[in-house]
Amino acid sequence: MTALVREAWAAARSQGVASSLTCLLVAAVVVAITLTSGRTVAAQQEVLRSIDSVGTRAIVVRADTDSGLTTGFLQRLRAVDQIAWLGGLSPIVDGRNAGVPDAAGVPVRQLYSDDLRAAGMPAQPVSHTAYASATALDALGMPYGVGELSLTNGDTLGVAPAVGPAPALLEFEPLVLVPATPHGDEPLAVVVVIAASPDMVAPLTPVVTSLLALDDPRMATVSTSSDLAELRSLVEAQMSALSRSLIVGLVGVAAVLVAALQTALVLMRRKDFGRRRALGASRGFIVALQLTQTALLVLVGAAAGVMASGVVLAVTGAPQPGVRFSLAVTIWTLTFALIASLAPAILASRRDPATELRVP
Amino acid sequence: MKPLTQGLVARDLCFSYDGRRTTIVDWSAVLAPGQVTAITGASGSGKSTLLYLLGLMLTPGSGSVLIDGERVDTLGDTQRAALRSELFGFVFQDAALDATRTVADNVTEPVLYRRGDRKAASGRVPALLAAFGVDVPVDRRPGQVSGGQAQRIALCRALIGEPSIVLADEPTGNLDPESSAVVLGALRQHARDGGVVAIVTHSDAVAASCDQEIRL
Repeated sequence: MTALVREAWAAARSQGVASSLTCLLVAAVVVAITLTSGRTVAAQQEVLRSIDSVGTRAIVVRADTDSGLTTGFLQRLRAVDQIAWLGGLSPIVDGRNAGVPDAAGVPVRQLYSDDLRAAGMPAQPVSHTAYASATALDALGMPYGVGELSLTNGDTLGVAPAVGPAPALLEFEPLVLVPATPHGDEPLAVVVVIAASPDMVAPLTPVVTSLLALDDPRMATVSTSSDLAELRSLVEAQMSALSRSLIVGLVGVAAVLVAALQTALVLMRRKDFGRRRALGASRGFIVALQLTQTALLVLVGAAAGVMASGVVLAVTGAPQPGVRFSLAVTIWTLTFALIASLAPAILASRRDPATELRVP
Repeated sequence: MKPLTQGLVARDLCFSYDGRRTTIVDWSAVLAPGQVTAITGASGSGKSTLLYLLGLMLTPGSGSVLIDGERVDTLGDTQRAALRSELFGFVFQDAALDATRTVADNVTEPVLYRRGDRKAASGRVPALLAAFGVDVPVDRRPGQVSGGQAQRIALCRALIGEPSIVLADEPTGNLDPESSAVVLGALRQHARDGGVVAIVTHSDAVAASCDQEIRL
């Protein structure tokens, strides 16, 4: 295998003009794709991020104080599939900056969750510490995220800044959360369920409702963002289809041109393939050699194209489509080019040594 | 070199390129190990075609080709290619070097097809070239060497894998007397070492220097 790759690389290098043309062609196509579809994908990602920021995957259960909603509900929900995150918020206790007695109060809630990091807290939180969002820290008059919180129930807690809480929790701003572990059935005021994908919000909602098990179901409301979820799916589908069509079109054109170039090269180098066959190269070896050569040139061209388009996007200040997009474009280009190069490779392997080496 | 006991045998070979005009008719011969065989004949008599038949590049219409008693002309394409890389060394009429590759790459090309150690073979190239009086750097391209040197480089390519059978098509056709002597000397030495050597030639002098002459 190493010998084959070495030979393919040496052969590609020895055919400088044709190899450079192939690399340039692939690079140009990758640049074209990145500057068109890549931009679309980057824009799509930004739009989806904006939609997600308002909680398209969230199912929020709000219950009255004496509704009977407890941490037992969280326990039951743990058995449900397709839930990406689950958290329960206790009823509110007011808290104030202990250093400023006249400061405004903020709502302080206990958070029951298996994944505290999604709520902006460390996985191993410091005990007797409340984690406050930037908005809450502003309201508390703690711009540096350091201070002490005095609760109306008489407790005192240290304060630490919360980093990047889940978008679905932002509707509870100013957000001050105290990580807690349930000891028995603790009362809950809010339960936030984040579905694994926007599509799962609709099927999950009745499941969540059925597991509420309240004596009086009217004491709780279940709200979802199904309209936003639908909008998200629509945006994703439409823009993905547009990007796919563009990519397939451009990569297809590139593949045809690479195949034409390879065919011309094979026809020009008939005698070389005849000699290889005469000296003992099997047809399979010739096909593998040609395909490896194409693959190497496509990879070099794609790498150059990715770098060039990255520079162009950076200079123009346009959003970058990301590594996954570049990788996908490279794989698509490689696959198409290999399929298109198969015919010229077979043509090369069929050169008859006796015919090609005959001297008139 | 893998030594052969019975050598290369052709029995009643017939061949036609177009299915109508027969180029080779009922041709039989034994090319024994240790012997240099000259194949002579008029232009168009089918000398090169015969060499391609013996070298398993063409399939005879009828008759058979045997190596050490085993019939090989009926093998599949992949097996025949494998035999060519393992047992044969070829010297073509116009050297047929790859003009885009270095002299070292050209000489070691057969090693690639027999899955040998090409790097190790590359190390032997300077000594091999020197033995045949080719005084050129191994990183030169064939376009930068003379015709005589190119043919001797082709001979190095044929011999690098120490093949059991060497088939040479007009190896001295375009060479000066000195280069011809080097090439013929190398082929004779290869036969003395136990190899089967067949040379297609127009030259009576070359034919006279061989152990056996077969005229078409």
